[in-house]
Amino acid sequence: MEDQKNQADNSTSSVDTKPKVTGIGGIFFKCKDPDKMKEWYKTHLGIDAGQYGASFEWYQDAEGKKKGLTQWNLNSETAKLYDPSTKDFMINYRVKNLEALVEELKKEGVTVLDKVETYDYGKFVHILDAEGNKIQLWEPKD
Amino acid sequence: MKKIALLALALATSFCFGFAFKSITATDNTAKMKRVTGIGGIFFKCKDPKKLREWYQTHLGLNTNQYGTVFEWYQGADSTKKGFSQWSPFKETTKYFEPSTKEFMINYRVANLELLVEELKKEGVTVSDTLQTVDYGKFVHIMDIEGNKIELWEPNDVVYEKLGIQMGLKTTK
Repeated sequence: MEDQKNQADNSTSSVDTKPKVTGIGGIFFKCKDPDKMKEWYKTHLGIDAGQYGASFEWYQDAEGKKKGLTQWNLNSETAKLYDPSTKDFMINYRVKNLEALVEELKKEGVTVLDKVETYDYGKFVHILDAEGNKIQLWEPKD
Repeated sequence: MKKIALLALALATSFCFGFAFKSITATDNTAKMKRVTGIGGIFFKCKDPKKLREWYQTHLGLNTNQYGTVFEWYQGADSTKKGFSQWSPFKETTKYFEPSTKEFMINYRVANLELLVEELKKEGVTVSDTLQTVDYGKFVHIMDIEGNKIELWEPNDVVYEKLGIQMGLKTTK
């Protein structure tokens, strides 16, 4: 019994649950004519973006068991999605343990812009970095 | 005489067919040609890159170094092979994104850069420099139709990883 308990403890401690960014979840940028731009990127670079953009697929592990996605999309110059940032781009970062990370960020005085929202494909929240870049944090359900 | 005419016709026809097939095959190859396969990097301008790198290290856990960080993952086409995406904040005064006036630049990973550049030139895309070959891959820069400078990279991921390890740099994963 004691042995079993130790084993359980060990397996738990070997899983790194420290909240952090683990990858790039997406890159979004503004442009004058998203439709025309998507057509150009499809024709010349082979990036086939629909309404929600294109997904680059990769793996999180060498065994190829867990997929990862990096989303690429274009928004019109008038998009409010990047507000209050005035930049012409926004990066989405993949996060491990989003809720715990948000708690830490709040304690650290980081500007958290909204509440954690849960969707089918994961949890999202938005924060600002030290220079006013809006950051989308995403804990994916891959 | 008739025979010769027939032969000539047969030759001409097969030549035309051959040509037609050849051009179909070529179009097919181009259409099927792998172009961009992934995100190789994201670069953006900021007031104070050092401070910003520290901020991302402290609050978001990025393993930053003087260049930014490298995100490590495994390739979609073959999960036994690693892939990398570079993340780097640049000084506002950088000339690296020129002639683009944008605040960011994206690096895209491509499968066969030399072939792609030839195609892009034929397609009338602005290629802004000549292809550069370094240990960790081949690079070229092009412009999209709204003046965004694009970095295209055919990576040598094995060498790229080795270089990072030699320099004692930790990736983010």
